[in-house]
Amino acid sequence: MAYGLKNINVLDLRPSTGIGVQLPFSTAGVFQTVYTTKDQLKYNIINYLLTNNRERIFNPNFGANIRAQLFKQVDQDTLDTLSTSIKAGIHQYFSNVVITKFDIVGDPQAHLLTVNFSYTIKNTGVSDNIIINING
Amino acid sequence: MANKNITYLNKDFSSFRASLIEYAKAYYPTSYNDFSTSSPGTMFIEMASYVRDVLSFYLETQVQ
Repeated sequence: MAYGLKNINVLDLRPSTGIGVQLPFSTAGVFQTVYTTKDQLKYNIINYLLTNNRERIFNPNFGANIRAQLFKQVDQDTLDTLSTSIKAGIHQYFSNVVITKFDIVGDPQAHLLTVNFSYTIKNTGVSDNIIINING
Repeated sequence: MANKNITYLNKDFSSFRASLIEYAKAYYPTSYNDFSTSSPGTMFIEMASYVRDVLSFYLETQVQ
C-alpha cells in the first residue's frame, strides 16, 4: 500500500545540535538553546506575532502589528482585517506552514487580543498550536 | 586563538550582518543554525549590525 513519505530536517537527526534560541529570554542564562526545528519554528512564529511593523531594522514590514491594534476600535471588521494580514504575513515569512485553524478574539474593555491558531508543517506531518494574549 | 580574517572595508549594515552570520556558521555550527529572518537570533545579529553601522558612520565622520 502506498503511503506518503515524511520529510525530516537533517538538523533533527543530530539531537545535540542547537538550532536557535528560545523565547522568552527569562532563563538564568538568558538564552536557552532549542534543539528541534519544530520548536524553533514555533518560537519564530511567536517572534513574528509579537513584533510590530517598523520594529525590525531595515525590514519595516516584518511583524504582525498586533499591539498597534489594541487601542483602536475593536470590532469584527478590525479583527477580520487583522486576521487576513496575519495569515498573509505567516504565508510570506513561513512558507512551509499551513494554518489549519485560526481565531482572533478581542476584548476592548481589557485592551486584550487573543490569537489562537493551529498549523501543520508541510510534508512533515508535524502539527502544533499557538495561543498568545496581547494586552495594552 | 584562531587567526581571523578581519576586513576593514565592510562598513554597512548588510555587510556586517553577512559577516556575523558567516562567523556564527564558522565558529558555532553546533550551537546555532537558524538564520531565517524571523528567528530571534537573527534579530540580535541585525541589532548588532545596526550598532556597528552607526559606529562606523561616526568613526568615519571623526576621521574626516
